[in-house]
Amino acid sequence: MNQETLLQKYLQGKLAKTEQQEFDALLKSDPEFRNEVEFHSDVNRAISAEEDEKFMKILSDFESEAREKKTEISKFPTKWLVAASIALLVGITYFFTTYQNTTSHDLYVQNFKPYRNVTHPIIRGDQLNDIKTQAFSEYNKGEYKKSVQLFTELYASEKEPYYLFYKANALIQLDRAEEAVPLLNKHLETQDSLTNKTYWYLAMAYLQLDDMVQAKQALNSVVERNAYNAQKAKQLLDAL
Amino acid sequence: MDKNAVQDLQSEDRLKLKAIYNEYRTEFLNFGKRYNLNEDDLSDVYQEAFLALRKLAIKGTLDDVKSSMKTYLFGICKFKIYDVLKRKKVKIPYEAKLHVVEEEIQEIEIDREPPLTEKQSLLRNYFKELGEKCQQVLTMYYYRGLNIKEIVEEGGYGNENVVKAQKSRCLKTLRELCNG
Repeated sequence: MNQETLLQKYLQGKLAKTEQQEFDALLKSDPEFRNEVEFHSDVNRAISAEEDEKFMKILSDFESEAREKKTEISKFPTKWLVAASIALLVGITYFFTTYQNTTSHDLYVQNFKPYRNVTHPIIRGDQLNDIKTQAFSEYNKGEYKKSVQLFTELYASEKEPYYLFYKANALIQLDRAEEAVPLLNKHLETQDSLTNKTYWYLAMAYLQLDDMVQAKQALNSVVERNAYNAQKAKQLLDAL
Repeated sequence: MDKNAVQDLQSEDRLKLKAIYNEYRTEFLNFGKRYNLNEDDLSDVYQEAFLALRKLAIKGTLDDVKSSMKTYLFGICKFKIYDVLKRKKVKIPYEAKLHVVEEEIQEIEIDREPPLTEKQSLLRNYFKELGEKCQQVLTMYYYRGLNIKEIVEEGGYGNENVVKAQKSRCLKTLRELCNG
């Protein structure tokens, strides 16, 4: 076997037994071959290190893409968004069949009514209506950053506890669970129609923060109170 | 092991590689939780194991492996996890249930590569100074272990002589940089 083939097989770690013997003999007897082996081994190692690092960079890209995807796929409020979409669809259909001559503005206002109905039933006053609509519309579209701002403003002026709840939800979506936790706890101090669901989202927030002790506590509260998602909470607790 | 999957793993095809990466990622992160490591540690382990698996695929070691790619990958992961635990001086939680799972996945030992010698570091820097064509041909030859004929096909070169000439020119440059 010629020296070059021997060398390449050696570098790939593919020398057969007899070839290994041939290689060893050459290494002993031929200083020039020995130098060559050393040089190529060094080149091999250097390129390996470089290529490994390049590949690790690719993998770390994959990893961040996988993590981004995970946060994009909303972990919980989809249920409501689905409900809202269905209600919206029904609303639009109803609207089109009932009032044929509508303006786009009317349509816009109408579009958001079903969603408002799902999330917060009574809205009085046009002024309020607009910020609220905007807030929930951003929320609905997945523009959580914008909705957080709007919910903050709304809560500051109206002090309606459910804004805390929605803001917390949006924050969890934005991977900012640590900010969501105090809001949810505050929301628990009040009693409204959403309080029942707050324990569950509190658990979700703690899960995101990797705080197993608190997450389990919150999940236990869900189960004990037979609150929203109690069944799921039980399954989660079993899994943890 | 699934030959097509091994081939995809060897390839440079980003989409195929990503598909394999994502195929086992979530399951591994769940599997790894029992070792008291956080997600960052676990994804580091996963990435290192993935690289090691790919290098074995390139080397041809995986062709004769009987177990599935997942089992093998998890075996490497397990080996790497113990490394991390040792480094962090974390005690492995011992539970009866855990023990059973432990036995399912055989730990697979991977050679730890020694740090580069001074000469090798220099060579690495010089290698990065080479032109794109040189880097490509040398990477195919050394890293991916392709022979001249395969490089002709893969790199779209005219014939074997072109590759041979290119390769020796590039190596000559490296040698000169080293000696100069």
